Amino acid sequence: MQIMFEDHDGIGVAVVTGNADAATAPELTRALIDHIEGGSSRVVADLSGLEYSSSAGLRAILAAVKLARTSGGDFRLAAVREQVRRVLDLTGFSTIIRSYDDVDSAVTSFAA
Amino acid sequence: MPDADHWSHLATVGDVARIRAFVQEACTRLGASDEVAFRLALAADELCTNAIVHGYGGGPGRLDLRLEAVGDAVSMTIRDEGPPFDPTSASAPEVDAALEDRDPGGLGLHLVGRLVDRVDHRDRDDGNEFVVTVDDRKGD
Repeated sequence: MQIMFEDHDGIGVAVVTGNADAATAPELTRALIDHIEGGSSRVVADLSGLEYSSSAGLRAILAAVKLARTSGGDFRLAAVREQVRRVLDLTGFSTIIRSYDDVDSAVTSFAA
Repeated sequence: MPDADHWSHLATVGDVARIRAFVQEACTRLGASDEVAFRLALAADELCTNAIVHGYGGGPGRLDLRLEAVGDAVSMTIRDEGPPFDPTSASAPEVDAALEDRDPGGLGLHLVGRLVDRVDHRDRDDGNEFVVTVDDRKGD
């Protein structure tokens, strides 16, 4: 798994690639929490390169969403692949986490 | 005799990617659809992760997986040597709850229940056995 952060017009974009499972999710959780605690509570996760997520990956996303919202921001998803989308749907996460077709749409959603 | 559809190793969470790959390959050999392979690989990930984290305290611990075709379905048996575990005693996640009320405990087992058509669990003298079955719905 790789996690890189970019800045898009003042919005942090976390580019996540690879697989999120019990082995890799702790690294993902740590990176996202560190980023948000570092003062960037408005974050977009670019998941176009996330090929797979188990419930362990969902828990990392949930932790980031909770922290971002309690910090006055939000953690939004972009470009979610079909298999990850299905896991979000099956667990009911897609009803509580905002998701966009692409990174630009997710970034501009913060201006609305 | 080597059995291509049988996997038995001492495992930690570092091995769940290998377990998914084994399940995917076994499904292909059994002629199952990509959909069945996806469901069973994810179910195997969740059940093996639970066994390693909760049964073995992180492991390594013995996991034994076997896949077989049963009519139009694929059946996967996962055995561990951990303490008895009753999946019905696990707290169900509140998937309809508001975000701030969500406790992610039991999320993996909930997901397994949504992915597969049947889940059977039984205590064995030396561990647990899960049998999960997915019907191949080609043409859905």
